[in-house]
Amino acid sequence: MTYLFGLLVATLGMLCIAAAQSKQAKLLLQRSLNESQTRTAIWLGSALLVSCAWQCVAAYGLGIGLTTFFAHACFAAWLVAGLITWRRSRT
Amino acid sequence: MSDQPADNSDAEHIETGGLHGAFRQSMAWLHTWSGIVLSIILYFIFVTGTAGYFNYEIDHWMTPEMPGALPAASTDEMVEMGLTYLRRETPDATRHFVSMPIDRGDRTVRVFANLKEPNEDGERFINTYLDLRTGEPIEVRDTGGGMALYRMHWALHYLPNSAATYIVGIATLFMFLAIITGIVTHKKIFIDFFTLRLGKGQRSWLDGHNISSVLALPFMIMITYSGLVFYDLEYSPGTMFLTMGVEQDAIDEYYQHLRPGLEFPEATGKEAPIIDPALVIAQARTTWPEAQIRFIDIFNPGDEAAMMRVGRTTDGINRGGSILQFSAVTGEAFPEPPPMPANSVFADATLALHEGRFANYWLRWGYFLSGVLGCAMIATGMLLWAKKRRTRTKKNTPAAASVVFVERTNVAIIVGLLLGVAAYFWANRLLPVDLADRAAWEMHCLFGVWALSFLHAGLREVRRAWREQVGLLAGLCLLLPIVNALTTNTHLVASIQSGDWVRAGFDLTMLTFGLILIVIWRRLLPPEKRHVEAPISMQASHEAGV
Amino acid sequence: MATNSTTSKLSAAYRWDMTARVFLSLFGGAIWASTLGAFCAALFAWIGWMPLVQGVHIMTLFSFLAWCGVAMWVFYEASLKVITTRLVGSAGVFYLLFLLFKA
Repeated sequence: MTYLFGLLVATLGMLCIAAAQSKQAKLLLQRSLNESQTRTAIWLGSALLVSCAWQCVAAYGLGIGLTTFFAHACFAAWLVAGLITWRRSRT
Repeated sequence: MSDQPADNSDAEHIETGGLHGAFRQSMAWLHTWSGIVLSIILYFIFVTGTAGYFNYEIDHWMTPEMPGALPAASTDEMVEMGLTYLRRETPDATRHFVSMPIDRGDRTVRVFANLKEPNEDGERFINTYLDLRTGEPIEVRDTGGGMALYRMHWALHYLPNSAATYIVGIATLFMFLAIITGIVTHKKIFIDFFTLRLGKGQRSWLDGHNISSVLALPFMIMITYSGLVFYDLEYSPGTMFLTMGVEQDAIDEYYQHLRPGLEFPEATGKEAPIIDPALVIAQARTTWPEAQIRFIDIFNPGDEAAMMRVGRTTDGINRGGSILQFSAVTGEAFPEPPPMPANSVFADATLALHEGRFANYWLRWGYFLSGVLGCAMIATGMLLWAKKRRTRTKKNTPAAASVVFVERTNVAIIVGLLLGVAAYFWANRLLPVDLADRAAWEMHCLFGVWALSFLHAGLREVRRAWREQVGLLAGLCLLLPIVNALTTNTHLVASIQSGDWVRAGFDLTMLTFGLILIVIWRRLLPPEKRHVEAPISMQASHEAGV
Repeated sequence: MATNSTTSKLSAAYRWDMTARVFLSLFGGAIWASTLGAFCAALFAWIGWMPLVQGVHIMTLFSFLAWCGVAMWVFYEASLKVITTRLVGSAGVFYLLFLLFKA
């Protein structure tokens, strides 16, 4: 459960970071974000990734926690990339 | 950096700033060639190494005689059972080792002994699994199992160990260089972070190459660098050679520094009975009240200087886990070894990260998928290399022989190796159980099928070769659970019913791979042969030969 | 990429240049990283930061990065003469410094 929750948080973080890129935002949200929204998305995405790292370290200790975090981040990035690719194929 | 032109007659090709143009162009060139030259070995290492993250699970599937569910037994009972067997079968051994079935490694008690003299099989050890109900060895088929696949990613096959070590080392060094130059080259690393444009010909392969490497970049760097650290002295002996020499004493000092206080005791030759291991385990439990005992390791059993090591389950990113040492005669605890120096802790953690033994199943799948991405990175790099050169070929002119050769070998390398691995699993089920050198024949099947895939790719038209080999691979994966059901009692339904999720997981994974491969195979079909009309982008990609 | 991709069009001089660079990056890089490692390990021990064996291990771990750096530079630098001179020269200096600090 801890693992799935961490993955969910990392995926949300990666989604925010993807939305901060105008090219990806157009595919994900059908429009690009304005400057302040972009800044918010970057901060929110970073905060979610940091909180995911913190949660992993708290649950598994520093070494295994950081390794788990990188696994989450990698898999989450793939999920978001897959979502964007799927959206692109639909447009 | 100097801006002088090169001292060769091809100076007209060389732009200001370096041999191949500006820094980034030079690095792109280096990235391409350092990656492609040994790509077949790198792909082999990645495929077998990735399978190795589930080596024990593959072992379990490849030994259907091994019980799926175990009767409950306490640690003390299992140690007693193991040592009783070892004392009876190997009274003169120099080492007795009993491993408990508490992690994914062993499913029942494993006993191991180092022998003074080679046994009737010419081996200086025994390594067997005991049935917890009887205390006698479980007779399993002769198979290389997952361990043989795993071992090949650093020891290759059909080659002496030292040659394989250096071949793998050079390939790893090239890969490390390719990764670093790849980072330098990829100027839109953040902009293209999530970008995978399908159906755009060469661009799609480049996107695939980028996304498979960038999204797993920490893993790629870690796995490559740590691969070099495993054999640091073999691959980079210069510093040691210049400063300390290469005599055995210097090498001993080096390793003693890395692992202080872990010397092997010398036998005195005086006999002495060993203490009841339950007493030692009880002492260990006072130090580790929460942990499970992983193994008991006795050096020089029956000797006055016998030493007993008790190990617990891994408690972090390290290779050895925690160990307590006792006199095996008196039960007196030896002082704990001094802590490892920081550099040794770093190297140990690096190696532990590479092996991932600490990983639970969630994280293990993460490792596995990252390994798959590594395979994809190498495969897309190879395809991209051929694609780029094919694109440069003018219309109505035959492509260069090197391009045709690489296009064909790409099929056999990328799909053919996987066909070989699938054939290895099939051979495990189909070869007669009493066949002499059965494990070796399983391996011959792997390499035989791989060799045939080269022949097939050489004889068939390239696109057809892709379709046929992918189709065959899909068939082999999908039919493997059926072959398993026809040849053993451990079929998928039986495994699920008995709660043996490791075996069931293997069958289910093969079915999943088979279904994914069917989807790929369908996409490789010409548009007119697909039952459902593909999107225009896919048709365009097919026409572009993607 | 500035070079011509069709191998048949490459001149003998270019082939020699590339072969030399491959050897310089592989062996020159290894020798350069080794002498640098030996010098640093001896220096660390001389200063008293750490025992020699620890320095040797650290520099052995570092040598792979150093080798990569050399390989990248060898394939960037335009002049083969500059590469050879600087590699051999700096490795020689490192070796002499190593002897000095070891003594």
